[in-house]
Amino acid sequence: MGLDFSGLEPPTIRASSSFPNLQPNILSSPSFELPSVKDLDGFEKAAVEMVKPVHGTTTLAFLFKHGVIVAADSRASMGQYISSQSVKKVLEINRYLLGTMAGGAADCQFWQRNLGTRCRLHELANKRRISVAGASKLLANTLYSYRGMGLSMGTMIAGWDETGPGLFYVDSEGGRIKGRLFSVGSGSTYAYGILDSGYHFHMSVDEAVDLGRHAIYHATFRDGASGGVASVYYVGPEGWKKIAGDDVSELHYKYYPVSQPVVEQEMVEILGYPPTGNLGDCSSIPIYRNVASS
Amino acid sequence: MECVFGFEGDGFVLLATDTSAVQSIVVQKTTEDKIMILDSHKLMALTGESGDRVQFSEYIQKNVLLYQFRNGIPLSTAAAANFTRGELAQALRKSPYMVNMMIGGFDKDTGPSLYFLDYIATLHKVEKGALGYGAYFILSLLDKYYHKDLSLSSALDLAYKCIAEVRSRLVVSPPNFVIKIVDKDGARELEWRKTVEDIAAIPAE
Amino acid sequence: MFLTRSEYDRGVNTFSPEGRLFQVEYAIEAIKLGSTAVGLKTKQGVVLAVEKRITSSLLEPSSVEKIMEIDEHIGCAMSGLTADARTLVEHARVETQNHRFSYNEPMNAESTTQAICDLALRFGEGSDESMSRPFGVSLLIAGHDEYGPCLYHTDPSGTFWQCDAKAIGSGSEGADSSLQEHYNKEMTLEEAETLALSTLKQVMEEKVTASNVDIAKVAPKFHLYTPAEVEVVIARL
Repeated sequence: MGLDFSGLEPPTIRASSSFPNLQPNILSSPSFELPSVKDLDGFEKAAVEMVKPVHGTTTLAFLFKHGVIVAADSRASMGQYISSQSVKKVLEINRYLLGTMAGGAADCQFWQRNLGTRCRLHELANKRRISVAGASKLLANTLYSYRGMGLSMGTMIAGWDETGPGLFYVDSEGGRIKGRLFSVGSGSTYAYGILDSGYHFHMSVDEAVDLGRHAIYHATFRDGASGGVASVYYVGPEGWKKIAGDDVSELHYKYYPVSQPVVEQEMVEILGYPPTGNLGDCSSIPIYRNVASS
Repeated sequence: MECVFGFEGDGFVLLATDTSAVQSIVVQKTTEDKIMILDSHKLMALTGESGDRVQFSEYIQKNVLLYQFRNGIPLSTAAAANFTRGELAQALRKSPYMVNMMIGGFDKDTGPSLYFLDYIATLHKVEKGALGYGAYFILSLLDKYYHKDLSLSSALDLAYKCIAEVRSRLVVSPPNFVIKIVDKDGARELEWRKTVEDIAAIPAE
Repeated sequence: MFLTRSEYDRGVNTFSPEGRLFQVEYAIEAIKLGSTAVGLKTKQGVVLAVEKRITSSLLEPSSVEKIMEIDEHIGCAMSGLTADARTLVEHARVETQNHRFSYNEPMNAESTTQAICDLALRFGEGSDESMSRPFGVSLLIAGHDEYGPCLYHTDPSGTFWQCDAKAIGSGSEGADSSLQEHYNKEMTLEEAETLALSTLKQVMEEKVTASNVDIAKVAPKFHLYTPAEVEVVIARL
């Protein structure tokens, strides 16, 4: 069998005088306009980076006595631009499984939906729900098989199975870590601070929800790329439940109510004012008092 | 920063690794076991990207066990190490696994043995070795204090010495370590050396 | 029927001069050896009931699986080569889940049936991946979708029919005529359960017990009856 080298040869175009109008189109190889910038490679790379949304994110999840808390902010940014303030970053895989979104939004949504499909097929084939460990391993193996091909994901898979609550961190490098407390995204360092200092294994569901919400709020306060709404989910034996979705700017005023600003310069009533004598009508001249001291 | 070391003793091999899982500047986990028990008498301690580390070690483990099921006898430590090298070398020109490792094992006829294997598939049979940034501190310690026929307790003392040095001299040193050994009685976990507890761990009642 | 038997029954995709595909017809014959299965549609939902041939007292009855869930809202009963049915059911499960993935909605029962029949016809002597012979199984597919409850019947030729009530398998002729006599569209689900089981009882050689029949309903979610629930229906006979 001979090798076919025809693909290496330049396309032969027969000059045809009968179709003079066609020639220019056929002869020139297909092309498109290139952006007129100095550094083309750098520009394209930067453009791809810029269009990749939800790079700035805060997501967290932790296990405690009564189950798992999963929480996230809701801001999507493209470079400096806030493209959305209402992104669902906690993805509902099925009634018992949640995934979080950090990195490429489309990658996370597509692969976690794909994971949902495969979890359901597992359920139909085996007549029992897939474990959190199994589901996260399915995802990790898929992502590992695409490693180096540009996927960008940092996700936590949280849920409840026959063994109780479960939590795994899975990323697009193929890493999969079992753990009890994770935070992912640009605001994660701030969230870790709140979580590490406020965490107790034995806390109630309400306390845990509050800790999750606080951690997201503080992360959005310090991380410009995080913001919007702090949504908090609780996963218990009956599956997940969305507990809260609070606007972080409203949380700010709830956690830190505006106190009366200190008055720097005060105007006090001057004794003997207005002076006697004819100055016309003085009743419209305001007389200030230091409100704080009165 | 990752840190793996190990050495042969009198009738056993000791391996130790840090147990930190790190993502950029964040320590995600301080209890990640990076020493895989390949089969009843083999240990594999690995460093590298977490995806490659887990996928590669599980792949090797499954193949070592498959060999045992098919042939009714286990692979010798030397055979397992050379098999691992071969797999790493084959992958190197396609999609390399970014992993370095030390493989320790105990065979009935040859006793304990230790191998050093890096991501470019260089295999060395060694009596002591170390990987990662920790190696810069540990290798000299091993050169000075290691000798053949270390008893288990003096081997443990040497391991503690190595861990203490890494903890005190290495910038961003890992807080926790795990120590495993393999001898005639099999491969097993010996001890966790911790200075940091997982905040979310279930508290002992 | 097979008086004109000739060499034309060798190839699975060779028509005889009379215009028949013998292998497909033989596959349809194979169904008539299978255990009986019946399905009934009511306004509240669909009932499926199958006979399980427990050939030995050492056999574990729950391992004989002749009613399977395809999706939350679709179930199916089978008669014939049950191993072939598993291939079809697996295909249907993947199709319904892919539909949910693509459109975020459940697949309707007719499309699912169509998808199964597409696969049923995908046989031949060509590639290694495809089936080399027709699937020797008939299915009763019970569904509940935007058009309400529905019941479909498929055979190895890849043809499907929508039915109010249908029996397949060895006792299908007797069961079908019995259903024609007793079925009416205004039945309640409970009446349908009873009719399904009494129809089965007529054509079964053995006494009906909770271990040698399976009952399931799709109303509107698929549910396979537990032995205790089957016992309740038996008590009503």
